[in-house]
Amino acid sequence: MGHVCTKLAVVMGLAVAAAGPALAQLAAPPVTTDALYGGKLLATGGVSQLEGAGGGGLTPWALISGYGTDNQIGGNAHFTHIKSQDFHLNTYGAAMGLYDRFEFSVARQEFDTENVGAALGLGRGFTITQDVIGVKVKIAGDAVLDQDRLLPQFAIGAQYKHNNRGALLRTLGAGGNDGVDFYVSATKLLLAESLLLNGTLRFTKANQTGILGFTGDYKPMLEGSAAVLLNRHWVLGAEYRMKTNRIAAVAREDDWYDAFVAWFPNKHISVTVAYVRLGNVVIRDNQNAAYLSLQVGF
Amino acid sequence: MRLINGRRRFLIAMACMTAARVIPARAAADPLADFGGRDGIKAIVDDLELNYMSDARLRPFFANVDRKRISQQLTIQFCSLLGGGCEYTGANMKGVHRGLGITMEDFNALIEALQDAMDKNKVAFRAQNRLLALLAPMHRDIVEA
Repeated sequence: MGHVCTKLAVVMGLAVAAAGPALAQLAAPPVTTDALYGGKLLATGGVSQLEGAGGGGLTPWALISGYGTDNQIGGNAHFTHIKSQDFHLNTYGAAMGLYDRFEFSVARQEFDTENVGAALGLGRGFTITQDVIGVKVKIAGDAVLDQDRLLPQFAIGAQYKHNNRGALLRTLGAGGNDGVDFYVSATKLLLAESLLLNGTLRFTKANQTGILGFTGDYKPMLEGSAAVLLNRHWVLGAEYRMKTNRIAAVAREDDWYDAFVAWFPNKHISVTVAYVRLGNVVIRDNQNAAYLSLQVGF
Repeated sequence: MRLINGRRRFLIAMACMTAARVIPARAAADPLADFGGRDGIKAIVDDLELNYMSDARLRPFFANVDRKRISQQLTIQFCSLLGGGCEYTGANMKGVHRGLGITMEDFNALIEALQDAMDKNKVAFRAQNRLLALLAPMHRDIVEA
């Protein structure tokens, strides 16, 4: 009896499955019930930037992280590993995009000094940990769809940063261990050219993104990205990030450059690999790093 | 040439690459060549119709309309936008989409359906983007929710 019932249930299930769409069509109102997430085009949420904001690898973009449209929300988590000859940095965090307008992000950066820590008497593997809380608001334009206008998409943002080595940094004359960066980003997709351009102006007191403290007054720093869309899933680009170099006597700081490849197999995962020229870091010159970042989200 | 140092040579190479990107050869010949001519555009639009009818997000917008006419109009419109010598005299975009409650995610879903149709018809990615760039600004007339 149970067996027959199971069979009957399966048949009924199949019948409903077959008739369902037709019935749904008859009953359907002229307007769809839209999904709550995932409505933006592939890759248009960018990847996770070093401090957790939606952007390229080094610099924030005006795009709002995630795949939510103006009716939707989006969110993602990321892990990034950067390894140079003498140091490594792990950073992980999460971002949320609300209505393609607001972006909130958190990230933790763990800068491991490896053998340099021992050389400085701090101990091998001495690590500076910095937490970053970010907020970004889109203020004008649509980088992707306004293809008949040159006006880029603009966003303003702030990143509050706090690292756990205040005493050491004050001893080194590197100032305090917390600060806020403010930035404005302009991003434009030149779709007919399959080219994405971004410029960011950041006002900051941070040394090496804040991991080496915050010194003096705000200084404007330029950052830029250029990327070529190879197809829907692959993006190739390069970036530049100007640095303040305010504690040159202790630890000279150089501008950063990178070249990256990002892969977006679908709207739930992206992988970015890059080669980054960091220049001098603490007491080691010519640091070149491999960069690997994984993002999962919606 | 030997006098030119590495950095200058790099800059010159970059400038040449940029020029090659900005001044492509597309001005020449048939503007529809990358799309397989008018027949190619018709094939793309036919596949677009298959795609939007098999997409649960899009089907409700097209279920009860004259899809044959829409496909004819889209074929002419795409040809016209690309400079293929067709004259689009069809409906005004704002007028025909008024009251449909089309959202940004619906609009993007149709772009994805068109991308899939162009992929199927072997249209090169860069050519696809040229058409999409011409269509994208229409979001201001089509999206209203």
